[in-house]
Amino acid sequence: MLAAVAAAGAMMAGAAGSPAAAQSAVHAPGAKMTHPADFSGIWKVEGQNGLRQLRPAYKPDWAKRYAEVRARLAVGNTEGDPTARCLPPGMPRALIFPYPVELLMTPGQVTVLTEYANEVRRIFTDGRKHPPEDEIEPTFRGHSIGHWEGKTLVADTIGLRPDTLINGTMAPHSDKLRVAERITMVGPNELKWEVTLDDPVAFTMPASFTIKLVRAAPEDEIREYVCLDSVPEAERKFDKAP
Amino acid sequence: MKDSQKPYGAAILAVVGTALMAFPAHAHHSQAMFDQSKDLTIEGAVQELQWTNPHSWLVVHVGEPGGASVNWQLEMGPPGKLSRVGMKRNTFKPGDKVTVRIHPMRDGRAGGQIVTLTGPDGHSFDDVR
Repeated sequence: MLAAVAAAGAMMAGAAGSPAAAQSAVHAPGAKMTHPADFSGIWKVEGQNGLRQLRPAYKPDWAKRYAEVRARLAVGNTEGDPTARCLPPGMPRALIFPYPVELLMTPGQVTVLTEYANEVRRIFTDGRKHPPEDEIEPTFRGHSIGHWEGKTLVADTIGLRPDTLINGTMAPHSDKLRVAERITMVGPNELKWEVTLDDPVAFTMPASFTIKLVRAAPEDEIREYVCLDSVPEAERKFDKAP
Repeated sequence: MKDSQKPYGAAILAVVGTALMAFPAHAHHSQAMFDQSKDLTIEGAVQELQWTNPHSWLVVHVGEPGGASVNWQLEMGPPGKLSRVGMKRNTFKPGDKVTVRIHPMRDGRAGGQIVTLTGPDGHSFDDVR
């Protein structure tokens, strides 16, 4: 028994010297090995995902802009939708999770791998802060930091590109959008993912939704999703419909 | 059997709504180019199944005896979607006779988004978008 514990300790010490562990150590100096809850595994949405039809309460100029893009969308014009050009959905739209998502727990970090668009999100739980507001580079996934409140992972994301959309209704946001997530296991096979979006520039009040994730079947592997693989519509040889 | 008399006959079962004007063809990852208010059913022979992201495409040949022949370019979801409803990359082979219900393209090109796809064995896939 003691020997086994010692051996496990030696293995961990050995792993710390491997390139992968060294990289973790660089990213998360002094990070604890353990998280209070283990979300590891492959998950899929069950039931409605409230993000899909979410319509934030907009300030008048943003409401006007939203109405304009929706009117264009209604007649087939997706101009302004980055995903129509195979760009990533970004946050929070990546939380649409149309296909399974894999969660990894490593020292100081929770990693979210989405099948849709092959996206990778890192939620740093090693105590670091966001970069200063004037230095942060707006990105598709933004900058995410997290901490644990009991067994709930509380994540905060800022630094989001204003040219991404909140969902397929083409709901816009500014570069001041903040995504707050609370992720809790409510059973061995169920995750509750509570999300609040706040955008003091575009919204009159925060907008919230909750996603229920359940474990995917063991054989349901995450598949490759390279968005630019299909023959583009522009290069496709269409006949005229009879 | 109706099929043997009219193996590649196109049958328009229902057309509802009005055709709308076309927009620049940049949107290869959107459903917006298809008219969701219209349903069209075509019967034909599989020419090719393109098993690709972000969309898979089924090319279906419809030929009227002594008349025009048209290849329909029909869009479905990605392999990750299709495999989870039981379709595989070799489920549809060239020459297979299929019946396909689609939302046609808005601009009059021979294309659409598949709503229901029924293969030679009579099995229907109806959650393929």
